[in-house]
Amino acid sequence: MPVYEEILLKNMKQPGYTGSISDYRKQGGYQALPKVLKELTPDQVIEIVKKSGLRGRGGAGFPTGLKWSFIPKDPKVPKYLCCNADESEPGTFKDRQLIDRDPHQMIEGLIIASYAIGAHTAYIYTRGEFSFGTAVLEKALAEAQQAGLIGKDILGSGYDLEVHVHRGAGAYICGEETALLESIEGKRGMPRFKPPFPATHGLYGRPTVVNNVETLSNIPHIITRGAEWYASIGTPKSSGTRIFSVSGHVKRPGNYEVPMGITLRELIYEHAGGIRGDQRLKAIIPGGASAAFFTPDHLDVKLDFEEVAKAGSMLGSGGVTAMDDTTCMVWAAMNLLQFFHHESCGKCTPCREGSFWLHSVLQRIETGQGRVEDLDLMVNLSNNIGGKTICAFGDAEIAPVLSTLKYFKKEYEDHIREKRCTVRPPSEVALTMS
Amino acid sequence: MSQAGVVSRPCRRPPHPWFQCCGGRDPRAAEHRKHRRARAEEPPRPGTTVEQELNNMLSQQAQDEIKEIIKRYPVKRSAILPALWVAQREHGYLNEEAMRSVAKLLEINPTQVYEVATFYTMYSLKPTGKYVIQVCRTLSCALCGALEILRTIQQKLGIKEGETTRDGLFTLKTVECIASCGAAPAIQINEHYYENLTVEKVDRILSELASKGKSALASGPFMCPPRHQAS
Repeated sequence: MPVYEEILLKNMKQPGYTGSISDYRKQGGYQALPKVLKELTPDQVIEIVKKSGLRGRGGAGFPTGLKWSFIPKDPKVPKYLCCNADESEPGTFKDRQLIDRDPHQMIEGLIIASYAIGAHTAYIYTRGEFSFGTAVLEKALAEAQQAGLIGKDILGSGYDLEVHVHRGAGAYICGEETALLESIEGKRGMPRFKPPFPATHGLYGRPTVVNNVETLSNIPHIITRGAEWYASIGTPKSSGTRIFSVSGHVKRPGNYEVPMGITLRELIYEHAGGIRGDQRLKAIIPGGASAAFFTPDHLDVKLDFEEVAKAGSMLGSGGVTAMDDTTCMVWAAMNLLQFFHHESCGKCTPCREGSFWLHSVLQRIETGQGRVEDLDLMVNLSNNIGGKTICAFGDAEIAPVLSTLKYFKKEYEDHIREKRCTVRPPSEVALTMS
Repeated sequence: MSQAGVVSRPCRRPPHPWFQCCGGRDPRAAEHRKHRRARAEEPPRPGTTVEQELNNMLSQQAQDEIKEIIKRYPVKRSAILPALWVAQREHGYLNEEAMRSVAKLLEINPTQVYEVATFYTMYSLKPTGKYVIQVCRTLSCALCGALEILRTIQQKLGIKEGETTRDGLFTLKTVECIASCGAAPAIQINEHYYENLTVEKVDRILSELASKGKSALASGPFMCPPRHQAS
């Protein structure tokens, strides 16, 4: 099985590593920060990150250096950096491991990023369920403050930075950057219309950058080992490593850090050990619940932003979920639509009403009350939701429906014709349809 | 709270629970500002007693904690989410007096607090059991047997989703993805995660919580796959 050098997960896999500041320093941490503050200007830092080709690891994959360069340079305007630790995409659990096990890696990246954009206040938005992670972060921030790495006049450079942890309270939509900003402002997490973008009108109307935990964790390594080194890993347009969270019917579910560009086959069968019970693979989701389904025909798709998009899905948050033969695709789509319906913020009518409607139709089909017209109805509904909402949630919720209809249409037709679920036994249908 | 007696009410309309009086529409607005501030001296709302209202308000310690939290943000309203966590910790749920105290401390309209409290799923506006069991039901957990775990808990405790046991110990909820998909099926009880569950583990967790108040099966810092299983 190919063995790759791990960058982000390396420290936490050392025996006895606790994530404390002294352990982090022993592994070579907090060397990038003094180098940045003493030798580099903010613009130089942005150039290095641009050259490295780092792209956002939250789901959208926007080039990080480019995002930072959009912030206006006026020193009189307060700017903010927000770290998006609201990991709620189903199938994704990499940020939780990064926060719980190696918080200082992300904090160092956060300080460097704040310096690069000229922000003097940073907020780490953690999801409400991460009470353990929030406590770990607060402890790590206190350690960093005591060591003079956060606060006034960091390491004698004259740069000030305040970092606070803002704990959410259970809303997937607050992972969307403008909804995150609304939540930090103390309002309902309803996304804002873009433009204007957070780079010009973000938190409290000021220029703001929102970055994912994994994105920020890469920054110290890019500074210490160089942008060319980082750009040499992975593929030309998607550089660096990626932590894929593999779950579902695999033998060894978990977080695997591999270079961008390996095939889905290698990830599932070699790193995650293959399908449990050596069953046949039926479907895969490559990038969290918002990504379209793949079939076993797509196993040789290379996992980087461009290739997965070309194959019809999206790399997204890197949450790879594998489903074997015992899974009913109608049920899987219904389960995800239940998630989207529950998490819809309610602002846009197509998403709010459409998610409820799609979920009801899928429930009817799964319990044997589907009608032939339902398939066209769902396509019609999806076309009226996608692209017609303020944020990408609308496009996300139609992805399971449209992709399962595309690849598993026969299964839907069997459900409707035979008036029952044709994949799962009736006892299991009764168990899961409450 | 130290003055006795009822302040004479210049506004003829009965006090609205959220605006504390007619809402300022009476032309003698300046008098309303005075009597709004004196609201604490007025008789309690119909249906509650003064003791209940006092008990449900925030303790001094909680108020001090919220005042510290306010300093983190340039705008006071940003402190609503952390303040509501403090308020929820006091009584186990968010009651009206606590929310109104938060609004007073943050100098904002109580409606703004209420809208936040009703949007986020982890704030509870009704009393809950001592342990709130949150079972993840999203795809990866559902693929790995989460719904059997849910049925086991329902049968063992004799309650359905959304209900609380009669002894007030357990409340059962289903929630969406809690970012534990690699260690599915997973549940969260209050602040702790319990992962890689089987029916036996669930039995053990519930009995340990009921008898000892904590369970040895609670997860620590997350690592998946665990180090001894890493390839």
